[in-house]
Amino acid sequence: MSGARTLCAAALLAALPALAEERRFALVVGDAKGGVGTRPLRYAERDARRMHAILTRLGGVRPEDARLLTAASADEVRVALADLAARADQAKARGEETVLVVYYSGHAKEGELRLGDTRMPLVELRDALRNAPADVRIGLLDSCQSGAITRPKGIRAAPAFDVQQAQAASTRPRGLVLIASSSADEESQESDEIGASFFTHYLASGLLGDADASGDGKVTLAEAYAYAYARTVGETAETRAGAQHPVYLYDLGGAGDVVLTELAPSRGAMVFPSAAEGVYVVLDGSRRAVAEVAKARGDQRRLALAPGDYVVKKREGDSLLIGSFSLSDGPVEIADARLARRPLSEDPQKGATGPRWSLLGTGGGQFFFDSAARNGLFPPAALVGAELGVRDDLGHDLAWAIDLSVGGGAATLRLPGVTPIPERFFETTGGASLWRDFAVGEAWTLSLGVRVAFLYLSRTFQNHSELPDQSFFTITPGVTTALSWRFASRWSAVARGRVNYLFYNVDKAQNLGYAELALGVDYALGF
Amino acid sequence: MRLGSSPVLLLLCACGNLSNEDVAFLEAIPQKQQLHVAIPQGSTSQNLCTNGAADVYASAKSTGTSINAGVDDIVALVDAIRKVTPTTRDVDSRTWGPFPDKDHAGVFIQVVMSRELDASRTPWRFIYTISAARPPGAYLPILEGEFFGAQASNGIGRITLHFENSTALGINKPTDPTFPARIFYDLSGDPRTISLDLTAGVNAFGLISFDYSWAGYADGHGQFDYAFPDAKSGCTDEVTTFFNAQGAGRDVFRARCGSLLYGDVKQCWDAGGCLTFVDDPFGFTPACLGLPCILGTLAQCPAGI
Repeated sequence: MSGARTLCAAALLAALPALAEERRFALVVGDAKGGVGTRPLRYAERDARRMHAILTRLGGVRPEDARLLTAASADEVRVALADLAARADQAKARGEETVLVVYYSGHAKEGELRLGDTRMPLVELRDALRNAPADVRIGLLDSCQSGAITRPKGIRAAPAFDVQQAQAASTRPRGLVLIASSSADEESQESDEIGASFFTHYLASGLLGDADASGDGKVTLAEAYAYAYARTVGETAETRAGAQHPVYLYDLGGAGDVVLTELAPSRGAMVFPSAAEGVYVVLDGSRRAVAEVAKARGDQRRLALAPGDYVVKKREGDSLLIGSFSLSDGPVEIADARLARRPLSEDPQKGATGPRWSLLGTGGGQFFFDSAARNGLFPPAALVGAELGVRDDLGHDLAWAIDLSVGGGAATLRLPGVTPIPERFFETTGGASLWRDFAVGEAWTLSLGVRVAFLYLSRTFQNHSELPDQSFFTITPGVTTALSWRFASRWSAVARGRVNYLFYNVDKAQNLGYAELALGVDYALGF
Repeated sequence: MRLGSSPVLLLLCACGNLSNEDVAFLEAIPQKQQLHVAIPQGSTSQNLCTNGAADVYASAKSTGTSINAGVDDIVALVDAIRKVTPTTRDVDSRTWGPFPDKDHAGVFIQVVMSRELDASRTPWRFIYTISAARPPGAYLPILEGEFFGAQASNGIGRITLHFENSTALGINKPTDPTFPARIFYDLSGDPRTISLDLTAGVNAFGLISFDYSWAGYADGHGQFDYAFPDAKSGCTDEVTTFFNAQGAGRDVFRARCGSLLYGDVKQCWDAGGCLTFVDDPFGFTPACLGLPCILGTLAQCPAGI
């Protein structure tokens, strides 16, 4: 850092109020559904959770002062907003400086936020913010045509605010700032590559530290906006929908800027040293992008990430630099020398797309629907197995897998007039599956698909040496479904069900069906 | 269905021998041990016998062993199909073969088994035939079996061996008789009875022409009727023996010497194979030294048989 830059940062540091001196409130709303005429958004609720986590971890918002609403109605939003406004009013009465942040990710159309089948006019939200008793009110809207909220004052699709330098600590900013992800006639775009909307992704990346242009360890509103604006416009320029331009309404009195996140107190951080140069993408354990760092040589960047396991990658020419890092309490330096060089074909992709391998271990049972078939021929069996799956390989949310299970059990064969014959049977089954994943909230996924399997079954008759061993082999088509819950970055609990068709033709031609139910644990592999 | 080499056939394949009905058919076929004459072997200690050794008991055991060996040979023919998957399956029948007989070049073997069910779909009768042929000659039955019940271990059946046909086809053994031999068995109650009908000819399985029969009770005691040639006298001794589970027993035998019939000679013996009582009016018993004699007392005979 140059000397002039250091002086500037020191001056700003003196001018900016620390987060701890303020009481901050946050309403974070994410809604994937916009009612009739809209398609569900893939990442709106994830975006909301991401912002909620950042604001409560780095943004000075106490957990009890934050509200996270997903799939909520307009009335629920109104109630939550009124509640926070009342709390801000109480804090203000106690002499505290107050900041109210409202973030919304979802559908907006024709001047209204669309919360499921309910509506909330943008004007209503703007007026609610304008009239809220907090000293500073900030509205962050990531939705199509959200720029309409800035209309009365005139939009500014400028790359940065004109922030007046603080002259004294007493001239703290007061007023309203509205930032929208797109102008009034633009669509806000989501990206399957990064697994988020463009705007929120870059806003979040900025708040985590990459927007800290001053290097003072604080990300201000102006820095965050400038960063999100530049990255959003730049990254959407080549998309089919065209460039997306964030806009803002800036109506702050006083001087200085509003600090949105403070990086220093956070536990653990990735530090990109001054020698580092280029765009670094940080992925979490599920290979979703959680932040980006676009830096030039000479700067040092600090990303205040939550403790956990991350993968950092950087494209460099025809190759990829990639490495895995574990964050705990201390800073971890991300130098190129610590990244392994790999071919681009091994790129885990920027975000949720690209092949993601996983290994699933299961235990369960198999049950034939036909009671006659269950009599010795295909008795209920216990099975343990493993499945190697690849997600997002054949297309977004499409996955395929190969699996193998072994099992068996004991049963009794009952034939008319014959003393019951005990038997033991052994079974091996394996197959290939193709399915589609449907995200149900942030951690839950429902899968539906098809499977073709082989089944080999053999049985021996205990204490009946006169009876030869028997076996059966066939190919069985079927359908498969699973519900998985991700409880850690790489781990998921899975409940899986399959229904298969089996053609049996030894004694007589029979069309049989059977179900396989299993519980298992899925581990996302690192490639 | 046989597995084809084509991948397409593999995809369509549902193959194997997993069959409850096959089990039902196989359960109707008697096993060797189920048709064995079971003579208690008695004590293995070498006792010094006051009245001499029970020679009839010893001959009963050896005769039983001979019969069991003959039965094993017969049942082995049927047993062979247990290891082979049926060639065709119909609702109430199974067919194995025709297969080339690996022991006799140019001979083909075929097994057909059918069953009849009662109103409750329970099998009440099985019929099976093993046939052999030297093409272009016709198939001749070499074994026929009929069984009443659903499970051989507790049903009634007969097996007829057509040695005359196996002889005609040239697939017989040198020791085989040349006339039909029949086994009858009733394993449905107590006693379980097995009889071997060799009355149609002579010297089958090294046994003389006789209707050998054995009855075994659940508590271990039994009865065994048989005949054996007495080389010393040149007569045929026809014996009816009774055993308890420990091997002690009694017998009554008659000696048929040409047109003359001598009887009854009575003996009892203990589990060690020593005579405890002899009532031999003809002096056939070695301990009588060729003279009519009574040795021991009747009270020394085992009770309850």
